[in-house]
Amino acid sequence: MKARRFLGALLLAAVGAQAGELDGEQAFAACAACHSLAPGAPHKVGPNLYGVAGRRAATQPGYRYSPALEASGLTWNRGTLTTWIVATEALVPGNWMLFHSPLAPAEVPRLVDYILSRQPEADG
Amino acid sequence: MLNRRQLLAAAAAGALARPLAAAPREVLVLGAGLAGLAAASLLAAQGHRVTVLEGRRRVGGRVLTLDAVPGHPEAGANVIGPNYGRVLDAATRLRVPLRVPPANLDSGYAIDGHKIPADAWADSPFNPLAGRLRAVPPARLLGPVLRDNPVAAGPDWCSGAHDALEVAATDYLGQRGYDAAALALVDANNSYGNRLADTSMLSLLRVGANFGRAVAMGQPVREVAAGNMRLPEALAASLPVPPVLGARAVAVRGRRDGVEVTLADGRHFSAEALVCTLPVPALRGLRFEPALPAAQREALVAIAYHKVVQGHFLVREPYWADSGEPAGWWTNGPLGRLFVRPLPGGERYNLTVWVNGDSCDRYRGPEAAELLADDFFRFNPAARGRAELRQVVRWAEEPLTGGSWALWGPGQVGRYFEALQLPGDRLFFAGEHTARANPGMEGAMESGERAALEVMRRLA
Ligand SMILES: Cc1cc2nc3c(=O)[nH]c(=O)nc-3n(C[C@H](O)[C@H](O)[C@H](O)COP(=O)(O)OP(=O)(O)OC[C@H]3O[C@@H](n4cnc5c(N)ncnc54)[C@H](O)[C@@H]3O)c2cc1C
Repeated sequence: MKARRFLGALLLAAVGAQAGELDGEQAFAACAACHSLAPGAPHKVGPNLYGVAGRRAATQPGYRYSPALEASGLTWNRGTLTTWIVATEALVPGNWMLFHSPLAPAEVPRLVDYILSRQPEADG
Repeated sequence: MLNRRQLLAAAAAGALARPLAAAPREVLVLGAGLAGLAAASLLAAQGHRVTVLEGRRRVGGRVLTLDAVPGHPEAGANVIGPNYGRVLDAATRLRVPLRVPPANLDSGYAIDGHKIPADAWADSPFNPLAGRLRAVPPARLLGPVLRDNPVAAGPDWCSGAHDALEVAATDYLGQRGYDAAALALVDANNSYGNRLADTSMLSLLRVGANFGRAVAMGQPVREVAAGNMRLPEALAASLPVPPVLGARAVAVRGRRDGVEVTLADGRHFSAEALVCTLPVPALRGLRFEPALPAAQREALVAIAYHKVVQGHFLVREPYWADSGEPAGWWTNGPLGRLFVRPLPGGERYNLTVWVNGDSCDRYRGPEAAELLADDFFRFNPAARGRAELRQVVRWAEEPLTGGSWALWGPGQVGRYFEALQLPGDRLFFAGEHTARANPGMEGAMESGERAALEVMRRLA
């Protein structure tokens, strides 16, 4: 059983290696149903992510967070966002974001850069 | 040994990142259920030319609103969870109004034909449960094991971390004090296995974990006000090219520069990539050239689908009022569960008989409706002349579906989850059975999104 799963992983990996990769904006398609990135846009099932860099987790007004995320003490930055995207449940067990990353490893930093670029300073 | 993530990282590190092509490319999507429609919308939004081929004369697949029955009851997906981000977003975007469903009428328990009001359950002589389980209502019999659900927080259900839970539900529960009578009651209306002994405990715990998380959000479930099928219809209508209906695929041929699909009527379609969203039983009817990898073929044969039969009655008078009996029932008999909800105006009611698993074998073939109506009126004699059976849906016998959802037998999550969706060079798989984080409709859309990203990479 283990061997077969291992083989499956190799096949998946081989496809990832041959094919192209998504840029940050394209990768955000995996987030866009639940999160808007536009200033002032309403929260969806997940909170608006505009200006998330440097913000303490679970502090946006008008959005109801899981107790788990509220208690996490996290501040969003490159490192925490990366871990949140690839290992949501391991970072904050019992959180409400039902997400399993469909992204290739090289795409994750691009996605994080894209999200972090949506900041008031970056607009000007 | 490297884990999957490290392997992927290693593979990606050696990859040549190619620039994304701006030119639109041709993509085919098989199936206009939520998975196919989600994939098609995303790919169309990327500028690709997408053609959706749908075997039925309607879109929606396992989302099926019975528009011909007053009250338009749902024969397929009914409940939209508060955490269904993709479903809720699509409804908002496409201006499909949702509502909180009207509550079902109260229900009682019928055990071996004996009717027991819900509040009399714990002390009823017909309650077959013993010890600490005695006061637990049959519909919530898994509650005690779900309270410390090892899947509720931690690695996801198919990461391999939960291999030890890939045991028959009967064994796991048996070790935790469920005797034969308790197991039989769990089995009676188990939605995640045709027989409890063939059900992987992991899949029950996965469902329990998802459910628990949705409940913790403290927000109501929803449905589409005019019928859930309006959502896939709106998704289909928003595509630049509407799905081709009545287009049943029978063969998929890989070619050096693309993929060719042959329909039952002999038509051919080709494209540079294909997303196949057919449920496993429907997939078995497709011929692939070249053949799919052996591991995937094995998975396609092994995975069973859950059987559901639904009888949709229209109740013209509340026949339960005279006797003071509840309207709804949870039974361990052939009828499974009876759900009753009022139509607007409060004079008529939709009643759904929902039969799960092997109990569905009783209602097969052309005589199913007559037998189901007979059983119903024998169970509810007062309903004669006041209720009529309007439609029966037998999911396992629908050729383009083959069951309500994929089932995971003991050991099958680890063995088959990834094999079921192995991507080919230009061939990608989606559908509820390939969803990782979410169940049901949201899982279908999640899987379509994941497959769309795979196509975007392939065509980049
Ligand atoms: C009784 C029932 C109750 C449910 N309740 C809920 C619920 O409350 N909440 C929830 O979230 N989910 C629920 N679900 C599950 C939900 O309906 C499904 O998970 C989801 O709709 C599946 O979408 P899909 O796109 O993966 O598959 P499908 O909807 O099955 O779509 C596949 C499409 O492929 C087409 N097709 C098949 N073969 C071919 C072929 N050879 N060529 C071309 N087209 C083909 C089919 O006609 C179909 O349209 C329920 C399902 C059932 C049956």
